[in-house]
Amino acid sequence: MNWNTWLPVLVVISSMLPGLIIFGLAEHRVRLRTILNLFGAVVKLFLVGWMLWGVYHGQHFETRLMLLPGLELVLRAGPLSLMFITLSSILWLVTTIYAIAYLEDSPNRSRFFGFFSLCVTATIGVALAGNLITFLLFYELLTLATYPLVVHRGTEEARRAGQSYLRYTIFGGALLLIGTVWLYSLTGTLEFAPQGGFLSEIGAEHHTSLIIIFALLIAGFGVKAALFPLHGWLPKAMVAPAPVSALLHAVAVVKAGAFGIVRVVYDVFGVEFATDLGVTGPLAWLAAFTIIYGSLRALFQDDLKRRLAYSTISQVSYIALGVAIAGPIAAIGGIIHLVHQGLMKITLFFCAGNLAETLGIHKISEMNGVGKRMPWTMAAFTIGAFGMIGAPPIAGFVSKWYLGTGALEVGQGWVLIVLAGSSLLNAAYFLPILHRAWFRDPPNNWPHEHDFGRKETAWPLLFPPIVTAVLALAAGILASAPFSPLEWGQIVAQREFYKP
Amino acid sequence: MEVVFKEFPWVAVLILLPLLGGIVCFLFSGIAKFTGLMTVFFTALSVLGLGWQIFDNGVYRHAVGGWGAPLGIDLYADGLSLLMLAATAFVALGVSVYSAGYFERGYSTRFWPIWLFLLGALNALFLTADIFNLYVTLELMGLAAVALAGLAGGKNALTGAMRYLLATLLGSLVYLLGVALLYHGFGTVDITLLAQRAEASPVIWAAFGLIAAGLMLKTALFPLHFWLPPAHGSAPPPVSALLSALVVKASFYILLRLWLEIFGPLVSNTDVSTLFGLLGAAAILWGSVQALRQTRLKLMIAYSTVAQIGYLFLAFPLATAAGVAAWSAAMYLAFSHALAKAAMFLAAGNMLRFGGHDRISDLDRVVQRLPLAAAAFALAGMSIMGLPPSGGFIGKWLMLEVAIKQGRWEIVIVMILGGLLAAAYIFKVLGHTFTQAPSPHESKAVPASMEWSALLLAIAAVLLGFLAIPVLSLLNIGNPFGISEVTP
Amino acid sequence: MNVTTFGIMLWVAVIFPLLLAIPALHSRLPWPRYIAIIPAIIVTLLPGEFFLALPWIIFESELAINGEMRWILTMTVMIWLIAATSTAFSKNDISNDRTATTFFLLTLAGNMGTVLANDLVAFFCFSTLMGYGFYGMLIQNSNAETHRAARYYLWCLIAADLLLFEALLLAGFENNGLHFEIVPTTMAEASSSLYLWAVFIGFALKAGIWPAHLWLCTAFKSPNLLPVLLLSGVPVAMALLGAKRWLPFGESAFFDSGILILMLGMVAMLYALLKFATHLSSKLMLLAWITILMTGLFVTALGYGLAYPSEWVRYQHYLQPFIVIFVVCLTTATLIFARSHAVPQISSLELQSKSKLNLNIIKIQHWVNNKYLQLKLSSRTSWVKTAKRYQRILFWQKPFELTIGWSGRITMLVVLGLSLAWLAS
Repeated sequence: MNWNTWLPVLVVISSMLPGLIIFGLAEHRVRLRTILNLFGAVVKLFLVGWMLWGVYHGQHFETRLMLLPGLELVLRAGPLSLMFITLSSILWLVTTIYAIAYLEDSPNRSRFFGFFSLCVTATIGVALAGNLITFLLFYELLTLATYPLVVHRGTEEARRAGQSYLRYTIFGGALLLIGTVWLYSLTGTLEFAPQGGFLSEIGAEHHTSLIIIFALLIAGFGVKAALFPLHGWLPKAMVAPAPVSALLHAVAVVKAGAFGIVRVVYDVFGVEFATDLGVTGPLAWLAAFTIIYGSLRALFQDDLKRRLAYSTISQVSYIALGVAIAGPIAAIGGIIHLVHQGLMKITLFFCAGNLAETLGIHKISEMNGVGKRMPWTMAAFTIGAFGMIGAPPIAGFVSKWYLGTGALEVGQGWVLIVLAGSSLLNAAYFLPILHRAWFRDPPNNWPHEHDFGRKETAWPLLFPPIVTAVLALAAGILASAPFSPLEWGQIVAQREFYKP
Repeated sequence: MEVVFKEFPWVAVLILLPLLGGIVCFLFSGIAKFTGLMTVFFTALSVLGLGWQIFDNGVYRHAVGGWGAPLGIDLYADGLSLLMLAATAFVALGVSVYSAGYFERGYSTRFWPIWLFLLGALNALFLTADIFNLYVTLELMGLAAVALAGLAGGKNALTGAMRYLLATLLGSLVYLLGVALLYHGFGTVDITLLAQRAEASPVIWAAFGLIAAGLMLKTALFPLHFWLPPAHGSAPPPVSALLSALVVKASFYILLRLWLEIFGPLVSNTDVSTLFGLLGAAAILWGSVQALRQTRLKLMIAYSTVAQIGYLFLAFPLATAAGVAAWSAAMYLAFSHALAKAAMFLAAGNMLRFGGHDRISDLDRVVQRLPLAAAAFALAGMSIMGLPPSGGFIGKWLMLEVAIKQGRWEIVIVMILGGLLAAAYIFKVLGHTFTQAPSPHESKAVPASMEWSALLLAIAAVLLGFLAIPVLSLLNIGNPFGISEVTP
Repeated sequence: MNVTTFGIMLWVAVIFPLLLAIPALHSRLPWPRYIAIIPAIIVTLLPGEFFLALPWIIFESELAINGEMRWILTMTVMIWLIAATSTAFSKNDISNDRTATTFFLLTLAGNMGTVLANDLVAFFCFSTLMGYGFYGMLIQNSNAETHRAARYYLWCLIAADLLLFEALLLAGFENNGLHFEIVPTTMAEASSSLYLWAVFIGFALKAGIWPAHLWLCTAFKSPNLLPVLLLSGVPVAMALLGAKRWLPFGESAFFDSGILILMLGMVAMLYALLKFATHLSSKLMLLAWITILMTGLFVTALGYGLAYPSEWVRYQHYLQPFIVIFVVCLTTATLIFARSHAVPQISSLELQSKSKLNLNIIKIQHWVNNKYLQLKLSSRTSWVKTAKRYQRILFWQKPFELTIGWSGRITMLVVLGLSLAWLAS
């Protein structure tokens, strides 16, 4: 019995416990709530840092708990898990700071922060899950914890968005459940097996079943990852407050789905076996189609957050694409995009939230000259947008680079065309925003302006997007530094994906 | 000391203590509440004692008064009984604490004696080893339940209770006929002896038909569920909780017992179980769709019970090939449903009391001001929907696993559809939790004990998801499902 | 040791202007546009060849300087000094000036980085920065015409970056490192004409080589002096440089592609000459045609080199000096010709736009006219009003006089002669 067995649980608890306590707090106890939130976030960050260091030096962190005869709840911190939880815990801290300022003086904050913490808990659980049933458990928990956040505004529109969200995710969860049980009844184990999955031993007579199981699992995860045609809930869920959208798109829900796809392809089926089954090809095509489709839809949105939402649909499929290309370099591209997209997208959403909160701007057509009024916010937005386009040296460029060379490596040149098309479309829907913001003349009156004195907006609102923008920039410029997403992605690929 | 505990006849305590408590409550109405709570508490402790006993010594058999079968009354406890007793104890504790706050003084004096009788009858039912005593306890339970359902008074409640009374009497009567046939045919009412003597013959078939029909009616299996929603709709919430969580399960327990020990090996196995399965599937779909259509909360929950009972019957077709796994799954579902459904009714009762109505569309202003009730409803709903990590999920997982292993895809699809529909009707209520309701209106305060008892039951239903290993090993003490496994 | 210190200076030359681009920083400094160039000037003065790769930076990028590139760097420093000087007047409007300075410095940093980059990725990164920065300069406070130019430029830029990115991927797939020393050779060995065309079209778009010259011509009509001044030195020259450094020159020949490119260059020159002959109305447009002519010439040389690698070795070292001379001449000429562009526009512009920077530009143009060409100003009063302020500017007259005047015109002639001689050879 040592620390290593308990650390994964502690990481999960470090956000769950504050969340549960916050539920019980009265609405007006702002200070205590803030302290609890920040305390949880900092403790989590510390624990994750500890594990990061440990895993880097080859230690194992694993917690097991019997759930059913032959089935255990497993929390295990491997390199891939750590990649995701590091992102989650950093962004949780930043988003918490942002949310505290964003929701100042709005009702039901105890409820909000309680579910917010639970949402992060579920995400961490998804990341740490060491087998499919644990994954499923936290995945469903995530659905439930996110729902109250989506409907937090309490309007009729929010309620309908929430119902739509549930319709998709519960349905996806059901598919996932069938797939998981089926898999279990075939193999008798659900333990994630790095470097090759646990299915390659299965006889050829079950291959049809395995293909259907793959489809079921991918459909289940695809709902949250917003793969076409399961993406419908995402733009509607934009009614949620900005911090929620930010977390939803960058870390929690969407990424949990994408992460699930990574797990299925690499740790359940094993990429070679999946390629032999012939299932990665269709997945790659689906992802590619989603990339283009999401971008095309984004072009025609005037609502800023909706445009960002469609952009997410497009960008998250990069991860699925990288995984489905089924080569080591493309896999690195896919998983580092998990982090890179998170950093860039959260920046964009923070900025969108700042515009809404400070100036009352929700539509792109209202953004004329906003760069002169809020230069720092828009500078962060610009970095995020260029990163999305894939302009060097921002993080998105590195992802695209690895996806592209990875696709060439396995002889799938068509991916380059998809990447180019996506970049082009990204430019087509982001650059006009930037043009408006920087080069048009500002109007005489903003739609709904808050007064923050001489500052462009409140500090806690301004600070998070700048931090995440700098991180996105650093992830690109310092890509070769130790512990950068890229370097860590290479460790992941070496230790978990491919046999050395 | 330890010896005393291990040898102590806990089974007798389990039956006699509630009856005694009931009498005391009836006689001294002033201390009814206190006595009632104490009785329930100690009964629950006795279940713990019995559990310990069984865990150490295996199956427990107790001949009352020293006369064994075939003449005397035998008490018998194995893992299956213990599980049902445990579920009863949990729900009883929750409901009792709740009722202590819920019933005003006038009702209180009537509620406690009847409730304790009901508890005694339930415990006796789960411990009985002969089919005639099963009838007696069934009848006792039924009458007590009817009395409780009519407790609220008023036209609606009385009509509902009346219908319930007729249904339960009819069911018992048919069951009694079956018992009479068996006794006539084989000269004993002891289950073990019957199992030894009985052979496939028209008597068995007729008896099975009668007994199964009677019990299906009492279990409210589709299409014999007509009495359940009105009875639940009009009964006071704690009573509804008892009816849905325990009373209905009791008759299912008898059916299961008799099927396992006597009828399963003798009747045309696959046809009957297919019929049970079909009815179960129909119950799931019909009950869920009806639940979705309801505009009143309690009726919705009642129909949800109809649907959930369907899952239990799905185990019959699955058990022909994989007995233990299927029955374990069904009992796990029954256990978690008992906890979750009780919690759900209690939470609904809180909302009803707070807002004065249970119209789902107007619930938003109620739900928002009762966060604990909403949380209890949501957690219980998690288990009903079968989302992890709840007891309902484990039950469903086990059952799905069996179904997929056997390639019974129709059952898989029905179960998944049931889960989706359950999610639909539960979130129909929860969706209003977060909308911004207009100005608050007249409301009646809800005592903390009522809020917390509902919430704790719901939390127990969820935590059950983590207790699969001990519960399943407990359930298999004495190998209650062993017999059906030998069957080809 | 020394080399490392010098190497650090390379990075400083790039990062310093980038840092200064932050408005909060440069608004607190006097003459930020000059200060930003200082590290680059120091680099040009440091002796010898040196480089520095930073291990943590993306793809371990490297900045380096050697004999050939020193020429280009000196040229770059020079045109940026000219540009800084030409804008030294617009000090009266703070808000406009801050944004303008930011874009100025961003473009400057990008340009320096592009020159100093010693591998494909660094070149690509900095040229992207430079491109978007230049777009910002082009579009600031502009009229409809420039807007159009900026839009064309932007689309060319996006398309070019996409193509170059694809080329980069192809190169990354074939090579381990992406240094300029190895990439062209290995890509030539791989005989990837996909790479060749991606690179060529990418840089052709960026340089405004015929037939992608539309944005260039439109941009020359911009009322903003600054971007017009920088046109040849920043986007065009850097794209030519890029084409020279990226294209797969090596052992094996790309005969078909080379000849095709050569023909393209010829046609471009022919086109430019035709236009030159027929459109003499605007002298600034004349410069546009000269630019197209020169880039066409450059392309012809590239195509010839691709087709005959053995010949390429003989003349490739002349290409960088060619760029330098061409840019210096053209920038000078732009300064001179700006007046003929300005005169007909003064009144209409004043009516068109009341934006302050535009007024500044008009003032600059007035000043240029007055100082060098002794033309009568249309509005004498404004001149008198601002006379005192201009006296301060007289301080900057000397470096100005050094670069333009007859020397510039003569260089111009020399360049034309040289290129004609080239064609003849």
